[in-house]
Amino acid sequence: MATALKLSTHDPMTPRICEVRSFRRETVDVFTLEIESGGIDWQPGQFNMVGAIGSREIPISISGDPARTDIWTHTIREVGNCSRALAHLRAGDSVLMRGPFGVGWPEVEAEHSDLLVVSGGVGLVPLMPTLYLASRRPALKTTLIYGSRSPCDVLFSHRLAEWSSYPNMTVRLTVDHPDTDWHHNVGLVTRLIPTSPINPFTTIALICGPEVMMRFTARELLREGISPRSIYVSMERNMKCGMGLCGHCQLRGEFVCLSGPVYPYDRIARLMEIPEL
Amino acid sequence: MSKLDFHTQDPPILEAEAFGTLWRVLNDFGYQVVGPALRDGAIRLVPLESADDLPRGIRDLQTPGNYRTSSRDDGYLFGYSHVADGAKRWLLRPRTTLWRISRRDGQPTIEESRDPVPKVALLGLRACDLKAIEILDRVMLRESRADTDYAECREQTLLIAVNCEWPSSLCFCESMGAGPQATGGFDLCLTELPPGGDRFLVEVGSPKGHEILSRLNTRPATTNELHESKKVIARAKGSLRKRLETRGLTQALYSGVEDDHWERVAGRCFACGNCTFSCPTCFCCDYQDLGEIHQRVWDTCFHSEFSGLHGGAVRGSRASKYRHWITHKLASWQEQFQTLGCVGCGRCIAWCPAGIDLTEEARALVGVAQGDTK
Repeated sequence: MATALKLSTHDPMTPRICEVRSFRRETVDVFTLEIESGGIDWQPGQFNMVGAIGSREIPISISGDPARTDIWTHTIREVGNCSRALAHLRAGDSVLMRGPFGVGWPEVEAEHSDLLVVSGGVGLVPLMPTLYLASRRPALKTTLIYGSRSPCDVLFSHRLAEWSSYPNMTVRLTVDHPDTDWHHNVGLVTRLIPTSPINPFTTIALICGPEVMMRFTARELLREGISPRSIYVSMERNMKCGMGLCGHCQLRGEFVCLSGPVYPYDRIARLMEIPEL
Repeated sequence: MSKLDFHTQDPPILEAEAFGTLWRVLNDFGYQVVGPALRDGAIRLVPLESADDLPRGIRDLQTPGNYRTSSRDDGYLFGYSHVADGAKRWLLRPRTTLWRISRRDGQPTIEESRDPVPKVALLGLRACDLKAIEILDRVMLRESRADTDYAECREQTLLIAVNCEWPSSLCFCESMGAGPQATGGFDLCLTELPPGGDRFLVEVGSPKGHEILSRLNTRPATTNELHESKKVIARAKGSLRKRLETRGLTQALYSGVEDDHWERVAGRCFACGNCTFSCPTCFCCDYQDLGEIHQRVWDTCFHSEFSGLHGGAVRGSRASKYRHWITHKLASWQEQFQTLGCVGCGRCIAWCPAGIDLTEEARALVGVAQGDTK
């Protein structure tokens, strides 16, 4: 039996060829690509499938300022063949792009809530667009707690230094392995939560980092009295198609590429507790 | 003739000779006939030149971890349970090209360059195969994010069912609401009447099916033949021995997620992925680049790379892989597609080298769940 289905003209499985506008090295193993976007709409927390020509595509969060609608900004850590191939790209090179995909962070502009952002390592990357928006809300407080391995792994340090001078922004940095010049905190991000001025009734918390860090952070926030509905986490899974077709990113009934990567904690908390789900 | 008229008439009879002309008629409509034939020691769905290619007088024997064919002493053309490889490989192709990248005037260009989609008439589909296609449609043809290759294959495919009269010992289609009688989702549906091979009762399920039937030589069925057709289906239903109780299954699989039963299954499972490849609804695919060609290929959740992140696989242990597979089939599929992902065909049991029986594993988990509440 035939089916009656209209196909869109552009198959979302076929990438667009886009031009790299700039390459910038952030740390020893992290770099940022600015890629012309053609003005496609996106939401903070969403991701693109990005691939160097001749290499597989990988899911990468968008890290730029939403005010810049002409480019995708992607900050990428070199951990495998695909990300290393992307690290060779320079201005004028071509890159394969599909997206944006997924559900992002709640819209902070529409919310009349203070914001608490807790992130670890490259987990800061998908939170940057939201932080840009939050920095422009003078009447509402934003606190960023950000943990890195060592001082030289701290991403976007100039931007963070600028934000820390804003009256509405508090930036608290911590590292696992400090050097002699380090004058911020040492240890896990969770240790900074009790000493951060948070009003649990007016705060929305956004968390992104390794899963174990997100679990412990969420627990700490619950202890502070924040409702599980006001906590959001961004899940990392093996996204490949971005449309819930290929099955790789499944977390029980969730296609993380489709219903995530950002989830309200109360929806995902139980699943996060089960090893190897 | 309006859409509904063909349902109101008594189904006619197609005799052996007229059945043989089905090939020519389908060819006239542009269809290549793909149906059951004995290949590589199994009854498989392959291109057929004529009715002579059908597995006349051949049956299949299926037990856990075992599939054999043998001859039967009658002339049934469809005297087996179902083809070893279902319709999936003709709709969700095991390997298909999605696009190709080349350089034009020094600039990279992408062309959507798909493998040609053959126009095929799938002959001999069982009710479980039709149910599997209905499920795959839900997975692959969701609005705004359909799989283009699947949609095109589906569009080009005619479905000719043959009601199942010979369920294997591993079939549990009735428990899954999938069979053995085909009740819809086909263009034409035949019922092979005893003693086999010479008379088929034909039901029409679509305007296209009606158009094709009108080109075939048929005669009205006698009352006795209509009675016979009901009898053979009732007999098939009566011969189903295996059951899967689906009530409470989702809860049992979810609540037993951390039970040590999974370790016991893992002790037998090879994580080979045979169950997923033989399953008519398993849809997981990977994407591969071969030089300038980008392809979609079947994948299996039993491989560690399937859930791989840079820090390692999310599901590395065999226990977690088997748990993911069966929980998806029998529980979380419902969350995603409002249906279970199992049609009760038993292929995963026959083709498992360890003979792991998902109905028994499910039953064991329900037992664990009930033990909890006592």
